[in-house]
Amino acid sequence: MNKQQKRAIYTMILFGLLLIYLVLNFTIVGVDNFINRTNLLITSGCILLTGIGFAYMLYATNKKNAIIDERDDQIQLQATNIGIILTTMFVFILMIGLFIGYEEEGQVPVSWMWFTAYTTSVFSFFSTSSIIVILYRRI
Amino acid sequence: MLENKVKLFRVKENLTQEQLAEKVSCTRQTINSIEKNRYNPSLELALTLADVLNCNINEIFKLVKVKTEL
Repeated sequence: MNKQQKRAIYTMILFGLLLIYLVLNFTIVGVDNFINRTNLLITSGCILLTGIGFAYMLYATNKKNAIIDERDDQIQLQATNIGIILTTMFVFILMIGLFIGYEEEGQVPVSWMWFTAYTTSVFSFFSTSSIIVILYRRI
Repeated sequence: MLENKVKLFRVKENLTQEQLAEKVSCTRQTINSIEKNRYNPSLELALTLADVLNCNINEIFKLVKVKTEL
């Protein structure tokens, strides 16, 4: 298993767990209580921990003499392209869902904005790293 | 579709995948993927492989036409 593959697996796990936490938290706590100060502090703490974990993972898996060849580059490129498309679709579906859900009310609760912002970023990391893991098994 | 005989020529030269990878400056996993026809190397890598395995590129790589049925 090379450096890229290891990093992709760790990233997938880290951001996958964070994505699950964000979705579950939002579902359980609810739209109205999501931007409650305590909940935001805890959620921000989780995001910060994930970021620290990600940074440490990058440092720990950094090997100076690791070879990155054309196959690694191709996989990275394909995964990035697919990840961009998936993230765009994610945002589109979420926004259309919000529009349909709040069309009659005429306004969307601000907690959805916070949720959209963070889940979009987390989803992009998760989707790209997942695709890298899949492509390393296929190619 | 591209088929190759990299494994055949590698064994003929008494090289492991690791040794061949080192000679052509790529990873062992890439050599493994090429041998299993899961990955098509770039022209540069294909020519380097032919050079290291002491043969013509046409001997290692072969284009196979696949009929698509509608």
